[in-house]
Amino acid sequence: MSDKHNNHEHHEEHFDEVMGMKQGHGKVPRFLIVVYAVLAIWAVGYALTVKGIDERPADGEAAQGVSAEVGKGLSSQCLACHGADFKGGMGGVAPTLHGVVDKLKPEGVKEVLTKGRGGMPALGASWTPDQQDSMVEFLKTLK
Amino acid sequence: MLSNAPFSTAKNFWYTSLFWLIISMLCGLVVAIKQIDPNFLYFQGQDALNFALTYAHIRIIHTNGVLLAWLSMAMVGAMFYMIPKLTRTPLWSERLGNLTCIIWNLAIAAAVVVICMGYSTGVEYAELPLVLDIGVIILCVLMSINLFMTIAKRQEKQLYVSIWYFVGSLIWLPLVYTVGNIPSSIVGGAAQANMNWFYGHNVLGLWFTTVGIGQIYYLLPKLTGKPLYSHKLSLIGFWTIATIYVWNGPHHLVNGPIPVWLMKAGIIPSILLIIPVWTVLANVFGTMRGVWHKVAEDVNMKFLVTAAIFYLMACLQGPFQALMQVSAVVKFTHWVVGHAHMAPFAAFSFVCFVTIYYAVPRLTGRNIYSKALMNWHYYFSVIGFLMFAFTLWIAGVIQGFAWMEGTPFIETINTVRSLIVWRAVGGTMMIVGQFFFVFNLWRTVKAGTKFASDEESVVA
Repeated sequence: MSDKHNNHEHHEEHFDEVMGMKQGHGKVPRFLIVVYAVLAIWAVGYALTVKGIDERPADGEAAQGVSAEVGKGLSSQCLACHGADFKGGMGGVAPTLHGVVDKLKPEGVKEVLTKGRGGMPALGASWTPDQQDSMVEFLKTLK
Repeated sequence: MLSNAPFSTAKNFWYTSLFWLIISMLCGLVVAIKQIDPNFLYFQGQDALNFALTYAHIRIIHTNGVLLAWLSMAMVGAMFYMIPKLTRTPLWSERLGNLTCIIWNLAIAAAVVVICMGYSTGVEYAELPLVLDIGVIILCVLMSINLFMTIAKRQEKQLYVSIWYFVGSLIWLPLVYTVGNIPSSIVGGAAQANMNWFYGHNVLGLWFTTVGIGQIYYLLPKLTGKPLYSHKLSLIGFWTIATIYVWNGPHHLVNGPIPVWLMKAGIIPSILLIIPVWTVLANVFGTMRGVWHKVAEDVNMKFLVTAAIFYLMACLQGPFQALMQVSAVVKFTHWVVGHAHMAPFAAFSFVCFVTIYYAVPRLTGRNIYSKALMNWHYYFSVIGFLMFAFTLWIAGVIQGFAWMEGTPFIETINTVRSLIVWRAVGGTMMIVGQFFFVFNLWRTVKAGTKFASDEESVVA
């Protein structure tokens, strides 16, 4: 088309036609060559030096201590029945957990955890004493 | 029954792909709404219906529908249009092409039925049962024979860059699809996961991307009237994508049950992907030099340049999230869903829109019915997608860090709830845009004004 004439005025912008498609011979931009080189060097460095992420505790199940935080991490099992806000669920079958420690005392809570009660399974039966105490600490925070 | 008219195959692939575009995207909207309200489309007492419409089934119909039906069919249509145009040779057999199109549609319809009935391999993106997988391979063979025979009978020996990409894609697709769909009873375990993602990522990299780039290389000189910027860049881009992209699969299993060397063998090529992507884009932007004003005047140019920019963004985000530390945060979150939509929708669906808008007037002799509707299609697609993607990316980052802190799962769902609502709003806009598209094309074919051809009659 009319572009053809324009292009002939610039010597470096000559082009040829392949299958009716015009195709130029522009240079590879310099920044792109830099990108190729940087990536190639990075790739070798990465291949030789990087190690996988391994955040597992070194000696199997590490002692995490007793804290409400640990208990909170375990609480996802509770809310399936007791509700997302732990205020009771399943149409009243699963009671509210707010104030449960005052009501049952820590020992009573741990008994329910390890032995179950009514429709509640013994979810904490396999927990360590620290984990059970952590759950009590977490339940105390629900007020 | 089977038409022998020139380019009838391309047209039939496109027209039917539009149907699947709407259906599959509506399925996407259904799952988006189900994430807000799980009881959406739940009918009391209608167990069979509820089973068919469960989240797990509709999501699979959405992913397979947009990928194997809409996008693949639109791309196959593009090859059935561009290869005869470029080779100036009539398609080897329009009858075989139309037969392929009919079988393709029947296969997708069958897939919808069996998925709703609950049959699935359970392997993501490769859910179709084995019988249908074999059907897909047969379809690949049928279309490849047709297109390769057309190329073989060409007059001009040298091949334009688009044809390299098309031929490469046609060879790679059956290979990639076969590896990904070997039944888990034969492989299983971590090896299966690795093969699954070899397919899951390469169907994007060696099929959608490469057919998409082939189309860009055809459309760009046609729409701008300028020669393609650089033959050398075309060569570098093609051979680096062919050698690098194929290694991308394992980045989906980073921090997972695969050896560290295999993770690195996935991560490094994911970053090196920047080489073919930036090379292609240098070619695109080099060609655009001096004709940027056309973007303001021509909706097709708007779509094409936007597609190129989203392709660039997808291929910056992708390498970034392949890194171990980033993957540790965003893996399994909403972030990934936002990312996964960028290349197939905002890059390569856009390219297919341009191809269809470009070719339909030239095949039917009718101008596109409404430029205003084209603009609406563009703005709804772009703004809808941006809203959809940014809400998911924000939600994903919040989710990822909350999970790391051990926040209870249900709490993280409540935290991002409003973002998920806005995602559905953005998604709705994306779909509304496609209704403009389909309506516009329908009016074009029925009532478009006469189109004056701008090219010599190339097919004897």
